[in-house]
Parts: sequence; structure tokens; C-alpha cells
Amino acid sequence: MVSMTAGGTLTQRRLLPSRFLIYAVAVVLAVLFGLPLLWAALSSLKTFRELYIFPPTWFPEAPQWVNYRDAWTSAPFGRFFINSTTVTLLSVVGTLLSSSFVGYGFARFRFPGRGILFLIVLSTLILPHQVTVIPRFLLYREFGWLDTLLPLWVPWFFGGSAFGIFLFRQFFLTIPNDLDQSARIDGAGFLTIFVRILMPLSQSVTVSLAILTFLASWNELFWPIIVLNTYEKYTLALGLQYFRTLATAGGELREHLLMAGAMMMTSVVLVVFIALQRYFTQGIVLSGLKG
Amino acid sequence: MTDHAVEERHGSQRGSRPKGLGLERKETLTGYFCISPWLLGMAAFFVVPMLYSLWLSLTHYSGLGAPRFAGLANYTRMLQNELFWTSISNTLIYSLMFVAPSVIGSLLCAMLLNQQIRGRTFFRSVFFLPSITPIVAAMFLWMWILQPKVGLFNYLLSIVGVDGPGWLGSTRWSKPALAMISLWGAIGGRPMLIFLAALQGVPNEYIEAAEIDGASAWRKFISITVPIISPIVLFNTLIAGITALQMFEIAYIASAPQGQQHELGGPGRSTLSYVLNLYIRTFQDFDMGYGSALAWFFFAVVLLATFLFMRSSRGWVFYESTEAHD
Repeated sequence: MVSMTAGGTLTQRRLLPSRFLIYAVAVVLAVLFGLPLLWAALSSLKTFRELYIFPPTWFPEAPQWVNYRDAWTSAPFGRFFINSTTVTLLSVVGTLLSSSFVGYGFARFRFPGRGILFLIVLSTLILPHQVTVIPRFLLYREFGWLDTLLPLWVPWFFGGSAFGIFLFRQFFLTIPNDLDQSARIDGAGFLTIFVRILMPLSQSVTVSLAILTFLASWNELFWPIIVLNTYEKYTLALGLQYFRTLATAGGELREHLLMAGAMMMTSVVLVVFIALQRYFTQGIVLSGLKG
Repeated sequence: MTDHAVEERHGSQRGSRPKGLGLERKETLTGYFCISPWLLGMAAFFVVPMLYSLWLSLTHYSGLGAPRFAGLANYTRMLQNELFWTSISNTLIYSLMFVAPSVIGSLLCAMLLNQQIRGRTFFRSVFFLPSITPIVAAMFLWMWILQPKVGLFNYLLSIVGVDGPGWLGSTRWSKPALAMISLWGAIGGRPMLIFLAALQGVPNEYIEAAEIDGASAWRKFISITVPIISPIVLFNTLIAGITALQMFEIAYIASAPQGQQHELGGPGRSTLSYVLNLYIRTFQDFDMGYGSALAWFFFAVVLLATFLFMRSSRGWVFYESTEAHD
């Protein structure tokens, strides 16, 4: 006890002056991280002319909410939103279904090669995937999947998320096997045990993984660039990029609409983040500790 | 550690159960059935494609007709190609500017958030937001902020008397600009949260004992915190390195043609990353045999680098379980 108080006063005495410093650093960092986003939000409400004012102004003279409407109508953003939403929802569903089921297999059953197969799952977490891009492109062409949304979500239904498999397997291992055993004695099959016992206990893992997949899928740009050609098929990320080439191609002055478009895409992420903040950090921390 | 414990307990339970051959066989089949989606996906989207691209790398193939066997021609052409070496040096320079600052930055931010300060959750959220901002949106806003003439950044620099460079429009500053944008999106993200969780796991008794011995803050950090979180430093550095080497999207967006005044990888090839070069050769030049050679070379190099890095880590990573017996 004596030592505790001694340590306490020691810390306090030294920290009092540096307390101010800590807050100062925290505020500076918050400005560095947050200001560009705030700047983008404010810029999205400026007129074209205002964007080119020097020195730049912080606040728009009169907020141009009309930018959002104009952006929405000057490119098929409605279409892009539907495409992105479709891909994202299907990716999340596919990841949750396949990762949990595969994770269940790795956690609860013994079969030859289980250890080495699980090691392969882990290794695909860090292997660079570029080596498969060309043959996968050719494969999708063979299937007639080019310029469709299929390549963007189907792989998730086939254990495409190595991380998801890993996460579920780790989590299932922490659930006592006795639960399975007693259910088995009551005549439950392996599917019933999975659906009725393990999955209801795994809500936090499920939500965390859903969020991570949502982010990855909503922000994905690599595969859309490679497989999509016609802009009715574009996802938001690719659509925005395409909108930029349009906006800067000359003719109408539309550069001020770019920021409005970017904010529309970001706002979806922000809403999900604010609603599910607790699970966000949880899922991400889970991802690092045993990776 | 805990995994093993759980697994062993789990295993011994299974082992102690009397089971006939039928039961065991059934369990094997059920196991394979459960992992079959992954087995299928792995075969279709990974193993077969990898082998096929190894074969393609030994051929000439434009994407149409049949691949023509070419031996090692693609590989020799690659090693003599100027763009190949340019893309390698671009990627390495970018990685050097990205990896250490991102890992150190994440650690410092995590240490700050580990202090008893008011509004911790608020600060954590603000630090974290850039990492979930879609890359396209982040690039748009940064391209405006870094606009050489009317951008916010150069304006702020001009206030302190610095004449800001052309950033993404300059061959000299384009890579630092890309690294800076990536750092903005990376530092407060996943690595920071992982560090934060690790720091919170540093046992308080150690810190208190050191304080009683009169250790300075720096001394406590070097002798207690760093060894305990070193496996996490290893993990975050590895991930940051692999991410940096695969840089593609930001360079693609920054240099995508606008009104035919730019070319991918520009200005002057200064943002031509390895993967961007691979993309251009494959999907714009339709040189798929050559693209496959590039892909396989990349795969081999990253694999080797990962292996060497893990190897070297034995010297500086501290694992509690092995040294606790001293």
C-alpha cells in the first residue's frame, strides 16, 4: 500500500506540467486527421468559382446544397449506389455464411490434414494476391462474368475471407465443447448444433466481421477496375473515379461536384461507423492480436 | 498460448470418448463437408490460377487465341526492361517513406490514447476516421488540398514563408505526396488500435516496480513496454510493408487520365508502382504472358522478403513464454 501511494504521488508530481502537453499533442493530431475531412465537407458546398479562390476560404459564402443534387443527376449515381449496395450486401452475407461454417469445421472436427490446411488459410492472409489476377480475369471471362458484378461477390461465398475463417475458428474454440456434447446426446445433428448453439453465441464476432467486410467491399476499387467496363455496372468507387474524368474533361465546369460525390460515398461509411462504433474497434482489435 | 490450451482440452475430450471406426469416419467426412466451400474457393480462385499463371508466364499470350510457349523469354525481357526497374525503385522509395513512419506514428498515437485523458473516445474516433474513408474520396480531397496553386496545403506553407512544391504534379514530390496521403489514412487505423490493445495489456505491476526504482519515462518505455509489445510491432511492420509493396489504387487515381493530359504512373513515371506497371502491361498492352511473369516475380520476392523479415525478427522480438523462466 505504501509503495502504491508513493508511486502515485511520484507520477502525479511529474505529470502535472506534462498534462498540458499531452492535451496539446492530442488536439494537434486531431486537427491533422480531422481537418482534411472537414475541409472536404465544407468544399462540397462551394461553387465552382469559390474552389479557385486564393487564398482559400474555409466556409462557403452560401452553402450550395444544390451541388449534391447536381452531382447525383450528372452521373448515374443512383445506379452506382445500387450496384455498390448489392455487391456489399452479398459479400457480407457470403463472408458470414462461409467463414462461420468453415471455421466450425476447423474448430470442431478432426480430419486428416486439418493442421496444414488451417496453416494455408493463415498464409493466404499475407500472400500478395496479384499473382492470381490474370488467371482469375481469364476464368471470369470463361464464365461470362466480365462486366458483371459476380466476380465482386461470388468468391466471398467460397471462404474468400481467410480472416473470417480464422476469427470464427478462434471464437468457436473458446466455447466449451460440453455444449455440443449434451446437444448431441439429445439427438442434435452437426448442423443443428452449428445453427442453434454456436451461432447464437457468436453475435459479437459476426457483427465485427460484417463491418470489416462491409468496409472492404464498399471501398474496393481494384477488382472493379479490372472487370467492369460499362458504367451502368460501375460501383460507387469506380463511378466516382469515372465521374472525375468526366468532370475534368472540359466543357461544363463540374469539378465542384466531385467533392459532393465523394462525400456521398463517405457518408454511408460514417453512418455505419457512428451506429456501430463499439463493434468497429472490437473487430479490428480481434484481427490483430492473433494474426 | 490460449489457443493451444483450448485445443488440447478439446482434443483430449474427443480422445477420451470411446469411438468406433464409423464415428471417426463420420467426423472426418463432416469436417471436410464443413470446410468444402473454402476448399472449392481455394482451388478455383487461388491454387489453379497460381499454377495457370506460372504456365502463362512461360508463354506469349495476348488474351486471344492460344498461348504460345516462349520459355523464359518474358523473364529475360523483364530484367532488361527499364520500366520494370523504374517501377521497382518507385515502389521501394514509396515503401521506405511509408513503413517506418506509419508503424512509429501508430505506436505514438496509441501511447497518447493510453494516457488518462478526457475525451479519449473522441480523439480515438477522429484519429480513426481517415482509415475508413474510401480511397477514392480520400484521394479527391487530398488532390484538392495539395493543388499547387490554390490548394490549402501550399497556402498554409506560404503563411510560414515556404514556397510549396507541385506535389502530385511534380516528379520529385509525387511519391512523398502519395506516402503522406497513405500515412494520413493508415496511422490512426487498425495498427493503432492493435497497439492500443497491446499497451493496455502491459502489466501494471512492472510499470509500478520500475517507478519505485526511479526509472524515467523513457527508460520504462524502452525496458518494459517495447519488449512486451515487440511481437505486435513485428506484426504491424510486416502488414505495413506488404501493403506498401502492393501500392496501386492511389497511384492509379492520382495519375488517371483527365482530358488526355496525364498518363498512368505519371508525371514522368514517378508514380509507376510495381503493381501499376503490372496492370498496364496486362490490361492495356494485353501482354498477359509478360504480366504473369511480373506477377510471379513479385510473388516470389514478397514471399522471400517476408521469410527473411520473420527470420531476422528472432533477434529483436521478445516472446514472454520463452523467457519467463529466467
